[in-house]
Amino acid sequence: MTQLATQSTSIRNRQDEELYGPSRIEDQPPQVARTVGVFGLFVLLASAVMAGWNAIRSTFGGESSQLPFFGQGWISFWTISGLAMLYFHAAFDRAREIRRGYMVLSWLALIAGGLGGLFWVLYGYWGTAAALVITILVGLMALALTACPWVLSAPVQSELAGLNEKDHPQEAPRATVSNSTNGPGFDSAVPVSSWKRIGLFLARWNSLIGTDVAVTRVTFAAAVLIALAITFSAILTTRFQWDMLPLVALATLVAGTTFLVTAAKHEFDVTWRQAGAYVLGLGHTIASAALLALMVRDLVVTSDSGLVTPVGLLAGLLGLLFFLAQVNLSGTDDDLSYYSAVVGLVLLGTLVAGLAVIRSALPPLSLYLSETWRPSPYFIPNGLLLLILATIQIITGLVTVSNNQMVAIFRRELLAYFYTPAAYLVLAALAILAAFQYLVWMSILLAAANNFQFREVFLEPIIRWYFYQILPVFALLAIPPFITMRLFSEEKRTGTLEVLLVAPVSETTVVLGKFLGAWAFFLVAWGIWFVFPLIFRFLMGQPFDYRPLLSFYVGTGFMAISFIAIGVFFSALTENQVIAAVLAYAGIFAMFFPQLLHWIFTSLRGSTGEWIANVIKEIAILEQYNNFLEGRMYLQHLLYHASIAVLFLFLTVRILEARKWK
Amino acid sequence: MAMIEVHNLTKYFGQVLAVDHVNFSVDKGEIVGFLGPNGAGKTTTMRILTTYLSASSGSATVAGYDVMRQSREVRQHLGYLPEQVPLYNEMRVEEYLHFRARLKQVDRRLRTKRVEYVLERCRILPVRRRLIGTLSRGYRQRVGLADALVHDPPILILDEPTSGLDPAQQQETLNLIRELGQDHTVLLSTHILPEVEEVCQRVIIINQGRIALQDRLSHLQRDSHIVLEVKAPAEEARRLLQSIDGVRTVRVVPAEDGADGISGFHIETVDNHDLRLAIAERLLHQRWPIRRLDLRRRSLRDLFIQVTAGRALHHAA
Repeated sequence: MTQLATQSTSIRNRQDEELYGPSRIEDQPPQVARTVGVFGLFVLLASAVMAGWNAIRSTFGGESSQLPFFGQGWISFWTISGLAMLYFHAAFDRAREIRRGYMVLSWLALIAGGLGGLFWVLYGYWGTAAALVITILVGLMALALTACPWVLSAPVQSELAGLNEKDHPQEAPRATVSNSTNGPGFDSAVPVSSWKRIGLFLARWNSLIGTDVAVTRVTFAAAVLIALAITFSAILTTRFQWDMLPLVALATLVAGTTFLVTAAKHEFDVTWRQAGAYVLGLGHTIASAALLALMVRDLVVTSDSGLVTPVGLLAGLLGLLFFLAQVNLSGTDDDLSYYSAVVGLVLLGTLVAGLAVIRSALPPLSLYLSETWRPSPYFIPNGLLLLILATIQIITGLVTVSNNQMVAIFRRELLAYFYTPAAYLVLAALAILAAFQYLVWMSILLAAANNFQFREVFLEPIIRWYFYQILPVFALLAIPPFITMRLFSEEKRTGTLEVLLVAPVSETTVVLGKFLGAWAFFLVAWGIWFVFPLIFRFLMGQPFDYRPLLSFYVGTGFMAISFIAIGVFFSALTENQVIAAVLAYAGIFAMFFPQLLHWIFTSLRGSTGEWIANVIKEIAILEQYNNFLEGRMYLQHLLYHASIAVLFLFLTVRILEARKWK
Repeated sequence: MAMIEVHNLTKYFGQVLAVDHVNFSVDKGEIVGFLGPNGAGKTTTMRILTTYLSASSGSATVAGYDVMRQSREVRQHLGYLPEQVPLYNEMRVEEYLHFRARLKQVDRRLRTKRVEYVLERCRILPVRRRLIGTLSRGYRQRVGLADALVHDPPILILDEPTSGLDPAQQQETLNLIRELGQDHTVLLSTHILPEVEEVCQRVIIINQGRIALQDRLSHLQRDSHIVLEVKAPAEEARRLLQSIDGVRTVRVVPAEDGADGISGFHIETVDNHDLRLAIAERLLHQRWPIRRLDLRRRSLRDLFIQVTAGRALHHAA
């Protein structure tokens, strides 16, 4: 019987083979990703247990209970870590059951998050909780249904029958009488008690795990879902955590989208991919409609400062995310997707910008128009934030639909980071560094708050104590070579550079496209550092001056263009990635050198004030860094980095052209 | 109309002369085999034609555009398949072709159609969603060819399109190239000679950077000689053969297994006329038993070895 089972499994695999074509190199099973995935599952289960414990404790013991309590932060941290590990697994495991499982999982997450958000808007927190729990339960049933074809496939049935004979000799004759088309044998004709049935089922299930890959994977997926269900319902039903609800819904939606894209990327079957694209398109439509509805409401009701932040803004960002995911799945080549991209991003962005400008213009206009009508001010912060959102929407829309060659290379390079584990490693490393720095920052702030004498040292911007530290500076200097090292050297090594340059495209276009791709990835990665202060400011409601964050982000972004240009240059010099990285570090160290000189000059009091000392001060990296951090952005600092970038990009183009004359 | 025209093309790598005053042209609709031993300068010449390298001197035009001055137009009009078929391993076949189509400025409305067309034409529909890194050598070759075709170029330059393939795949690729030859001009380099005989109409043999020979394949194959083995005294038979009308030269060669009394001859005739019947008649008249009477066309292989080896000897001297 076991033999039969393995035989029919191999027949199934063979059909797969035919689908893939005759001469197929067997993919290596992604062992690392699977290990990470299983580990992530355990982490997720652990956080589910913690959340469940909290729920039990607060339900039965109340707040005064002496029982220990797991911090919400810890539970969120473990949940997010577990999800990240699962995501890593989803990104690198292409097996059919795995990708389908993740796809179903992501649909459920999208439905749950969407309904959660809806109920939150309509009925408040309890509605959300109920909706989430219900959808997750429904989802579990859906998953069970999805799993059915695999579980009840011929090999498994025969396996069940075989087990029946082996393990339960007394029941065997009766069990085998039942018709196999009715499902597993024990279902119909066996007069055993229901408890016994459950026991039997579990025993069989247990023995099936490990014999059939599909069953193992379904079990894995089911365990993931159960863990998520427990975590969410526990978080939601625990008292005093209601503020988290919209956040949880949002996180669910984002997680669902990322999982959906990853799973659909691996999908061969057009139907599944299209289904994914339609779900995302629907999400985009709903989110954009919500944003526009809120904006129109703000335009009509002018007496308050507007409802569009934060819900409308988040809806806009979410819509953008959905849309990008959908474009990723269906491309923009056919007319439908092309025009929906034009309408869905470029026109939507223009509309949002227009509405924001009109509403922001009302207060000053009303001074001329009416004696009594005084709309409340809108531009700061709502109008400004909406304009930023609109700009992002328009730029992404144009990048998406553009047929420009540079944009094509830019998109490929940016996406290429996510094709390999390297990008995930960089992001994860930065997240860990930032989290650590955040803890350090918190301890500094707490120590200051508890120490009266120390308090007077604390002047705004207090984010100085978060960013003017070794770790962020180190990260700023260390990431660019990591990002740029493969850009040209990898292409040189594999020979794809020849193919790239034989396309009708100029060297300048190639260099700029790659440079912009690397820079965009840097901006995303570097943005992780800003998440923690923003959470501190907006979610924990701690008022501090957040505006220096803007100048600091822009300023360090400018700093990065010179670092990245240096990295691009050295990457074009050699076909060895390691050498490229080492040379780029040397280049960045050379850029850091004026800072060392500046320190020497300032330690020798006498020589400050001379013109050379002033020049060195202007080009000292950390001095500029500090200026950005304190909200001062000087043109000469930006130009310094821009000119270095232009020089090195120009040299890179020359190097690429030099191949012709060797 | 000449689609590719090469005039006195010369390329130095430092002190090394890789291509030495090469002249040739390829007409519209031709499939031309570009032959030569390893290191003869095939790839370098092709890279100059694709504008990837620049010539040290001389000129070349592709589709009427100068490779130096109008490099962009040249690249827009040719599809190039490099020898090792470098591809982005981390991309999917479909994604890669869409990216390449975008890069080669295929109009958006045509893009999907073109990609579907080349997927089907190169028979890679079944692997369209596969990661390129997981494809076998044969499929990679086809993806590379699909890329070369995606912007519908009139000229294809293929650098050893069959190297590293198994015989079945080689055959399939050759069939594809022959099909493509119906509406494209193809310049194809290789050192596998039967392939050339199968698909090409014309050959250019390059050796040590110089054109050693270029001619239509049908011309080359017309060159033939008659092999004769007959049981007769060698000198007497030679005189007899020499006297036959239309015989140009008769050369005595040892018979194949050196059997006693059997003499072997190589007979070249005027204008390559097939004189086998006349010879047989004369020999029968003398009652000399014939063991072998054969018309042998000169194979490309003989020619290739002769041309390349001759060149080498010449250089050594």
